[in-house]
Amino acid sequence: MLIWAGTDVDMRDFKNYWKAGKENYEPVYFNYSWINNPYYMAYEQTQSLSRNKFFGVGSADYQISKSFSATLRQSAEVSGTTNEMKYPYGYIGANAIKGNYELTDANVSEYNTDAFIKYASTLGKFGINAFVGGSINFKQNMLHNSKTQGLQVPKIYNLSNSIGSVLSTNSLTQYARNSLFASADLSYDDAYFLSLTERVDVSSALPETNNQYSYPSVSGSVILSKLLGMPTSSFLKVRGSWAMVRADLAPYQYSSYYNPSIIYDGNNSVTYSPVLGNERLRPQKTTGYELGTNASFFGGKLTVDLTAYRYVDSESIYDQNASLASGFTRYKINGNRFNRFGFEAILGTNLKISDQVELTSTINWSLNRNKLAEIYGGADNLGGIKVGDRMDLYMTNNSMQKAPDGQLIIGANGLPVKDTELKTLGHIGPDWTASWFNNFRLFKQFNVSFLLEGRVGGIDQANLNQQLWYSGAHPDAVGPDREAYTRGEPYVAKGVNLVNGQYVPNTYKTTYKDFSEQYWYRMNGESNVFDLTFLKLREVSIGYDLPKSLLDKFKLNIKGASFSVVGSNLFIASAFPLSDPDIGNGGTNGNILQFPSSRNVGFNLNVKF
Amino acid sequence: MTKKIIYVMVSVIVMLTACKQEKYNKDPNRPTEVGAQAILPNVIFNSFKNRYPWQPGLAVRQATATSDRQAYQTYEWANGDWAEFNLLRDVTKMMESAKGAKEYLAIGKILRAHNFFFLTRMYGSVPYSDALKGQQSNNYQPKYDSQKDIMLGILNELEEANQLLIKPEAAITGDILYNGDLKKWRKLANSYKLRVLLMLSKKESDQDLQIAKRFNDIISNPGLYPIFERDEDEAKISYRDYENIRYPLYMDFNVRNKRFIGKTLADLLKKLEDPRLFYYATPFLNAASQGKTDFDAYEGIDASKSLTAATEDASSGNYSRVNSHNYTELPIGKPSLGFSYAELMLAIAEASERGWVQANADVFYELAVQSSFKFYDVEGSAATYLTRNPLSSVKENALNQIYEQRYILFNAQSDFESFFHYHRTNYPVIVNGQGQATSTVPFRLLYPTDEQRVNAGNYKDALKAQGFNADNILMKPWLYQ
Repeated sequence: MLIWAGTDVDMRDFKNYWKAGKENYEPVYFNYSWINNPYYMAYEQTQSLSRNKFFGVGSADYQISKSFSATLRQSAEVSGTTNEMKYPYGYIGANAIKGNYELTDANVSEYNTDAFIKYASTLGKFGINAFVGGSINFKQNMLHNSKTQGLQVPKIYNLSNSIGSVLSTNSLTQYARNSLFASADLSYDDAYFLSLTERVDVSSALPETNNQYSYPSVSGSVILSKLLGMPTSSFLKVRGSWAMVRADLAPYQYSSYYNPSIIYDGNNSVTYSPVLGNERLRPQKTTGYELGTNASFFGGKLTVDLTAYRYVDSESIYDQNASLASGFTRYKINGNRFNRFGFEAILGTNLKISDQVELTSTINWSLNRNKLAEIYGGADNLGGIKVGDRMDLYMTNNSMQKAPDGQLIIGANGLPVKDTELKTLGHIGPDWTASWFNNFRLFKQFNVSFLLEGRVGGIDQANLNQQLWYSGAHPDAVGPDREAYTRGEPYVAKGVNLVNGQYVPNTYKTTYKDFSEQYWYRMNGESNVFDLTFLKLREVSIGYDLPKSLLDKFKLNIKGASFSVVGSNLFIASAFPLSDPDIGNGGTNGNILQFPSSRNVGFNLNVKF
Repeated sequence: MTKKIIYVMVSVIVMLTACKQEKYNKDPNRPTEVGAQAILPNVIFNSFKNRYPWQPGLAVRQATATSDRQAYQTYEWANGDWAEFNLLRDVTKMMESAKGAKEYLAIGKILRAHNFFFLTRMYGSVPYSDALKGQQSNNYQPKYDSQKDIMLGILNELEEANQLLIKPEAAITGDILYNGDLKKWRKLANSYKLRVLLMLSKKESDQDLQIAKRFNDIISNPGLYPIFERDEDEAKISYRDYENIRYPLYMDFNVRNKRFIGKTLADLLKKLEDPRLFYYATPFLNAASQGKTDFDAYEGIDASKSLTAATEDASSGNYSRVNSHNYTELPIGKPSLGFSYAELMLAIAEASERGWVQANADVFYELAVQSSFKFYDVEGSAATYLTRNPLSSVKENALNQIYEQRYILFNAQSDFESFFHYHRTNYPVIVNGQGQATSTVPFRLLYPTDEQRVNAGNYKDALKAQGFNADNILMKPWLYQ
């Protein structure tokens, strides 16, 4: 609606979405080639989900002696989900012009069996908590999917109503992992703490020869405030840890298989996996350390938490690129080394400004990097990324040629000329992110809070921007150039022509529409890239705790109740055009259509019995 | 107390050994080994179907796209994707799974020839002798072979297939092309050699290739090298109204709404009064009101115009659309002519005109026309057509007529064959104007972007060996020099 419906289309005209006399067969809309009537989609093209879930845990604890205890625990989570997809007659897309019906049943179950023997005791200033144990994890997924090839009779969503045979598939996925582990937590004088763990896993997702792997970790902390004799209103802890983590991958991924291909006149055929498996695949390995401090001063009026980490992913299970001429697009390896490091700081304050006003304020700042450290096989790049580069680089080979002074080169057809050289224009992830939260507690009953969030750095394609230029619905596409286009006048783009080795101002003609399409939609690798930096007022909330005296009047044994009005996404400052650059909030996400930010205002009522 | 600890420990250990990881190692839903017949329908269908149903038409002016810029028409060609190597992966697995059964091996060789023949003509040098060895020898960066070596390799493989099929021993299944008739596969192998040799016509003087002699050897020895004898022998794939195997342009709204018949093709068909025009296109909207009927009711749009001008033509109602009923409303439509009897007849007619073989070019020309007319259900008109358009006795004119028939035959069929023949024969005349971004027709697609990153050394060597100073669509490959 936003991109393709012209401003002269009133969507409300299409509320009655069936053509008169052709109900259930033909919908009405302003376009019959590309897009569907939104009312028709909302009411007729439906997806439904019905899920039954059972979750249970049973455990038995036995106190063997004063220090020893044993626990046996069994948990089960079983769920059955039925999914139905219905497409009405006349649907554009999804191969469903004669409607369609798809039914999926999924039965997923997961069982965990754990057994521990625990030991806890103190020996003077020493304390020890340890356990040894094992666990079995078993997961199973049974999937059955059937779909029609069009419907004989519209609105009858049943597999027996299929035109032609019903297409059915089913699959079973099972996974088992056995683990043994041991852990010891030691403390001395309530000031020194040390933790040691070791774990061994055996996984069914790895080949038999390499399916067992072990990984330890050490962590410790020291309560410096105790040692340095700081006043009790202060707390200072320093902590550090070193860990090795090993992991497997999803079931059945390490081998190559044949997948179903076409069925022609009853001849079923298969096709081989384009990713070559590795029968000697090993588990991934990540090793690293983390250091941090937690501090609080002046009785909690000021808190400081700092964390720094550095992890190295070696032995990554990676799908390495191959030349397609080798027969495979990728092949599975253990290799490529990635260095990940980051830093986070949280500064907080709890102030009693006056008898009636308390302020809690927290500033959060973080930085994360993932860099390529080594390439398997000694190649000089991994998908265009070189050693030392960030893994989230933005690269394109679809930009426009420019003269040395930066002007656009225009070809004989009046349009920019494509530049197919692979360019790195920046990185997609942020340089750093931060947030600031404040909560004022007033008169012991009101809470007023606001949360600001922001990120600095990172670039990506603005998909909505591109689509609106393509359709001509972009606000910037309105102006004298467009009026000239409507009058049938040509457009001479700003740029240069390369004539006999010289750059001369452009004189070649085209149309404004053609130029905009080339510039923003087709050769958009560089032109449609924008900075993702933003500052957002993510949430403002005003709340009121109902006084106990009022609650008691209801005689319902209410222990507490509060009411608040919450507004989220209230304000955003960003150079990113037309969409929300905030990833995870409907913002940029690769090549999916992005959405403008939406403001929400709502209220919460919380009652405790 | 110790007893209790022991009980707990034992139960833990028993539980942990109860699960056998190996039982869950392999995917129970998909096989790791299959028989060759399980892969055969897939590789046959995907090799001979219309893989490029509308793209070549735009490149050689058989159709004109309006409204949206189409890179195939504007010649803003960029990197190709080498998708045929995915097919060749399955062909390789099919040949491995045959476990020596020579019938399947022969078919595999023919399919390899077909796919490599396309790859090398579309891109230039490509990996051939070192290709497809990722699984066997972990060669993920194969070297490229020259076009000449690939052509020789293809001709060898086709001869090997011919040899393997002299005395077939076992029946095959999964053959959706010839239904197990191995004689027809043998005819395909030898006919395909003629297809390859014709494409090498610019290399007549090359002593390694000896094109004329090879062509003549095949024609003169039908016992050793059987070729197509009738329509039923051709490589033709019929579509079915079933998932994934429907006519490729079925429900294609782009073709339905934005494709018009090209002026070059329309003018040619009108000049010859060729009834195949009525299958390819529809009368223009205003024809009836202008009193135009029959061949006059058809007008093609000139793709060298600017897109704006072409789009204006489209909305004027005075130009003929590509027949949307025949191409986008029939789930089955016409079969795909992977390699038709008509094409072979035209090849022999041309070889005769070029003096490679002693044959009556007239006869083969007529057989080609009759076969194509039959395909489009207008065989009744063939006789009058041939009387009106007989093959000229002047060599230049005759060759031109053969090129015309080939151009008409390949409309919406046979993928990029008309494009490759354009560069070989310079027929039809293609003029570039405001509608194009280049002043000449490109020769090739660029190598896939991945090649520059993953196989950089061999990629650069190949460019150098071909005399290309860059990977450019306007670089002329050896084949056309």
